[in-house]
Amino acid sequence: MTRDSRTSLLDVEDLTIVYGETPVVEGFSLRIAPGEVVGLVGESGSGKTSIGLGIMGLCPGRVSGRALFKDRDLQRLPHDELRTLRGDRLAMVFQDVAGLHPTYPVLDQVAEAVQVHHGVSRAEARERARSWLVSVGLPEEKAAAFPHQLSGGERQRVMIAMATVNRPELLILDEPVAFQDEGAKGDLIRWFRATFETAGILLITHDVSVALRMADRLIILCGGRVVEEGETEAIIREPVHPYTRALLRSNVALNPHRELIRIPGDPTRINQKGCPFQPRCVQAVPECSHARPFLRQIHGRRVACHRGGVVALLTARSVGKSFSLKGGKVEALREITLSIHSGEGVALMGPTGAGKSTLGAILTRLLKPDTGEVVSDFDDGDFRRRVQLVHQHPKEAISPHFTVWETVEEPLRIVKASHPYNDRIREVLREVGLPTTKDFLSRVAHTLSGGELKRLVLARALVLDPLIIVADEPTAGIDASFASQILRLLMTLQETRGISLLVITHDPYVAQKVADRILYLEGGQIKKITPSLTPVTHRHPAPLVS
Amino acid sequence: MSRKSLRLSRGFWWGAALAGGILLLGLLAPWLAPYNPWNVTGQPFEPPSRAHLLGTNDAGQDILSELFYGGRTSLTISLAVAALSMTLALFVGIAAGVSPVADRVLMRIIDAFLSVPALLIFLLVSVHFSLNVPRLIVLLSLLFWPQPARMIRSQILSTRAEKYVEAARGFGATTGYLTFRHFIPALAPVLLAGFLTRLRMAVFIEAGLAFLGVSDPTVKSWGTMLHFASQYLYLGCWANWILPVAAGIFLTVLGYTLIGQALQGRSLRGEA
Amino acid sequence: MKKIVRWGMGAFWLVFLVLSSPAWAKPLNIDRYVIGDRKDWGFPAPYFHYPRGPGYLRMSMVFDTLIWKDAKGFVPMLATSWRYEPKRLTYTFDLNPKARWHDGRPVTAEDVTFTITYMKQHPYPWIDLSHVAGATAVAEHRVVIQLTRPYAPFLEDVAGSMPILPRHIWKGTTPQAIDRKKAGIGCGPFILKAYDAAQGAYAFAANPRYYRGTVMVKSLRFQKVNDPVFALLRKDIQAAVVPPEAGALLRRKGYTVVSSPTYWVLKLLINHRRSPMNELRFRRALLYAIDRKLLVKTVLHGFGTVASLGLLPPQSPWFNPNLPKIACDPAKARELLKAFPRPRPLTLLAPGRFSRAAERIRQDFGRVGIRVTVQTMEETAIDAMIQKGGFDLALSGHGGLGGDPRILNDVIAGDFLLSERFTEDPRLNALLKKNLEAMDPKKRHKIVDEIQLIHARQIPAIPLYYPMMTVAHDGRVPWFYTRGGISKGIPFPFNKDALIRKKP
Repeated sequence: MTRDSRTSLLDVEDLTIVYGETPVVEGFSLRIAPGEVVGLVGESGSGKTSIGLGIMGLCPGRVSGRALFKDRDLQRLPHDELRTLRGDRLAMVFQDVAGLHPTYPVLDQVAEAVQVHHGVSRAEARERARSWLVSVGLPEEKAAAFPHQLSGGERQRVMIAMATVNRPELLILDEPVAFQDEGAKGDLIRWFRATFETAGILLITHDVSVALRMADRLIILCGGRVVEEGETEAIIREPVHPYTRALLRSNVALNPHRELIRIPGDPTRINQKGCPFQPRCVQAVPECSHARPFLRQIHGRRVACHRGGVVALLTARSVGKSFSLKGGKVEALREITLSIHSGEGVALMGPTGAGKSTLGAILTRLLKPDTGEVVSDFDDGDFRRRVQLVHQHPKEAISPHFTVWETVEEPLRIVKASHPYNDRIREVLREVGLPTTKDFLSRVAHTLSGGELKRLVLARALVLDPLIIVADEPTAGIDASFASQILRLLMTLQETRGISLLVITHDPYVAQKVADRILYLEGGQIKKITPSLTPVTHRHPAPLVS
Repeated sequence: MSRKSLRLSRGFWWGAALAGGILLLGLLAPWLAPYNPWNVTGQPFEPPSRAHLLGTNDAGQDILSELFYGGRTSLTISLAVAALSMTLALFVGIAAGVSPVADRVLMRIIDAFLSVPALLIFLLVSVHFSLNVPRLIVLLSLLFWPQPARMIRSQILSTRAEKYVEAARGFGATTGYLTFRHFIPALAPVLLAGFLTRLRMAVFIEAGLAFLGVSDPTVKSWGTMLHFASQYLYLGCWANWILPVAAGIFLTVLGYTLIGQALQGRSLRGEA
Repeated sequence: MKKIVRWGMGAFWLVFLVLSSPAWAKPLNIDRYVIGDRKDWGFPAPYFHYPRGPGYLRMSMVFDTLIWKDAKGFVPMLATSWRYEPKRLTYTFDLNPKARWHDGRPVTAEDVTFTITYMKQHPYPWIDLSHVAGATAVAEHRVVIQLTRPYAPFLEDVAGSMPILPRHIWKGTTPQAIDRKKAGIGCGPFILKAYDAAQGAYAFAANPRYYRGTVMVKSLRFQKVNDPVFALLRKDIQAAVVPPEAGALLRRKGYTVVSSPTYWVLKLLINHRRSPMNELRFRRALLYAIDRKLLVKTVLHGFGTVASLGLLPPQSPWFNPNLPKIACDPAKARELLKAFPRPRPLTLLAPGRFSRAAERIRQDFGRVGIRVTVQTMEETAIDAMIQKGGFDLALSGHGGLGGDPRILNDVIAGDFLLSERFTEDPRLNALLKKNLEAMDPKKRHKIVDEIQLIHARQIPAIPLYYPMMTVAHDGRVPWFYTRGGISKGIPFPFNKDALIRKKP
């Protein structure tokens, strides 16, 4: 790590914060140059606020490591000196809007911050405070109000005004726009960037969309440890760490079309020995649970993942396929190269006859490609368990002789899974929302309704714990309400099981709903790839809701 | 399906009653028949009387007893032939349906079998071997298997193209699994129809061969009864001798046909 | 079902015919006369017809022999007279100078000598020339035949059976190579016009220049029919052998129905070279077990008689009436079988037409504890198995019992297809040898009686019954029964002499 103290405003090295016996932040390092906005992103409880407080010297826990502000070690600075710096050159906007004194008008409270650090007259301080409050966006007439007379958003503006009134060189913003409506959020973000063009900003937020609009760089924090760090745009476009991707996917502003996906698992379950995300990671390997991953340079950024980030579960390389018809050969697929990553949702779109289903069959190895190959991340012996095709027409895909039980039992029998099957069969049926009564299990599958059948084939696909589900036209020919149920179900599965989805569809809305990427197949070739994620350039933030 | 199977047409029950009744008569022949049909229990050509309800035949044997025992033979042969030929057809059909290599070889064999005139085979065989019941069963089975084998093969080929089979293959199903779990259950209608057809054909052909005297005339069967009766047509004994036998054959075939039609109709309705 | 319809139609025809039946006339000249039969018997020429009675009969319409038989005995045919010279062992025949071949050439002594030479070179199954040394044409119409040893049956077996071949046609060729069209040229009362093997149809036309008289039937046909009774009723045919059971019906319909001995016997052949049938006691047990009377009643429906254990029927002049008569006695059979605990199951080969008899024998043997499996097959296949000795029991019949007792040699110990092949008894062997050589009828009678007795005691085969033959015809032709059967004992009444109005 190179150090350039001349351009560096804040230099944090190996910051570790321990509350009691629990380390909440470990080995955190950070550099902020003047004019740079660094976003510190993570779920609540990931230790980002502790880092802010730690830098400010306000953290109640045991703090070790160094935090240099303009080469001055904030941890070792005499208390007075630190106090002088704090609120003046170095300021933090707290998340907690209850931090205002309830019995003073807000104007007085802002004015006090000016007075304390600059020693100007009370009147001048009040004047500066008033104009500052207005520039932050508080209506002038409300400057004299008491905190309880203001809304949460207004109180937050007061807090921002208090922290920034002295135009600090380094600003730590902890969820600075959390209480603002969408329009005000944009205004505030624009205000910060305009007003603190030369200052360094550490933006602490759980909201990726805010970080996206403000930060030049992002640091993704998970369980008190950095898992990914890099250019904002690059991270948004292609998150490498599974946790980063999960964060992005759970963000509503980033996914205006796509269905949101909750980060699976319990966020408080953090692996202290290995990778902090390991208990919730769908692609974890044994190594992840006991060895700590270190930040490595991957794809132009730094990532801490034993698997090198999100893995490609299934990769098709230069796949080609022809069918011989009476007239001659018909080239169905030509030079197809694509990957399906762990936990990813991919939509395969294209007109009829574009080779969608052929590609689906090749990816599931039901069809052998003429050229190229399909390689998987897992054992070939496990391929049949790990990759499941869900047929378009469930009735055709279920033997007319089978009962519900036999239908779901079939994959277990085929792979000779260990007994008993009972629990697993009931579990997947519950998972897809089907009853598990004896009566239902013994019904002939073909007597079920269309909706039940769709769920049943899904349950059958799930019973082997697949990593990838290839769904062929999951919503074709069914009504909207029912289609939404099926989509919802698929998304839920993706969310709860971290399954990768390849959805073959001709419906662009469905594609946008389920996919991280949409592949357009035409004439046997991939014509274009669209990420369904809609990153908004932070340089020109546009209101998402007009 | 379970509920549907109870709703069978009246034709089925008539057919089942006929076939079942005749089967019962055949099974109970030793108890029902008033005489041992091989023993001479009267004068030749006795007209019906109290002692011989249907009279006696040319050898002075009781025709009614012959009728019971003859039915037994006809049913034994037809059931055995249907079972044997369908079993053979099942093995061949499955092998051909499952393995393309076996298919090419087996289809040739089937074509060869189908192109040979059946009656010629019987005549050739009957010259050198006594066509007794076991031989007749084997021979008829050998002649009867190719057609259902073909039907079974094509049914398997069409089942193979089913999505649910593709799905099972997607789970890594082996050919053996597919055969037992998917191909054979889907064959049920074909097997049933084939079985009933072969039953019917066997009754007819057995009677025909025996009538022509190609098969062993010392076996009591409806065909041999007709064989002997036809030699004495000018004696005017058709009412008590030929008619009961013809009725037996007719009713048996009718029974099988009714069952077959009822089941076939049901499977058609089931698919619609 | 089709059969029933056909039968129904047959019945309708029957009624129709009864109603439309005309009064039968008896014209001297008959334009067309059809004899029905159930089979085809081969091309009607020597070497080509099937070597059985009906085949010979058809051939005999075209080919004449040296002498012939009528109801009473030998009559002249090509030979107008003949004499035997015992010292020289020669027969001298004077031929009818008017005899002409169908192509117009005269029949000469050369033709007869040629026939004998030819048949010695190319054996003709019907004729055995082993006792003939050769023949010499001493004049254009006189031939002398030299025997190697005394041979009692010569007149019937050779002179009365050997068809004379036209030398100019058969010379230099073999039976295999001869032109079929020419092979049908004889000197008999009928000229072969057409033969269709598939239809079993033979068309003969009267020989207008026949040397012995006028042939009364212009067109004589033999025709294969499925059911002779219905064919007669339909007037498709004018004569046929019919089941005896139909006799009463046909008689009612105005047909002439004649029953006669067939000189034919159904035998239960016993493989006396196999155990346990090689023991006389076992064979006797078999004989006691069979109810031959019941067999006659149920299989022949009374139209026949229980066979003599000496093979020759009572109608034969050589019949021995003093043979033991053994009736069915199951108790006795069981008694005899005590020496054979648990006898092995026996196989009985039976042609389909004897299946009723086979059924009865199975029942009868079963009654005394001998299990019998009946195997019905084609007669030729059974014949072959009998010849190879590959059988236990077999049902087989043969005719020829009305003629010369030489038949006993053939069927008891000879190499004949259906022979009993019984050569175990040296006394019998000696007697059989003498039977052929004894030219003195009295002496021969004694020999033949003895042979029958030994056969009855040794039981190499069980003669079962003699069926009767029933022939129905429209009465226009005065068919008669040939003494001892046509040729060597063919039991049919269709002797060609019945069709010839002889010149005085």
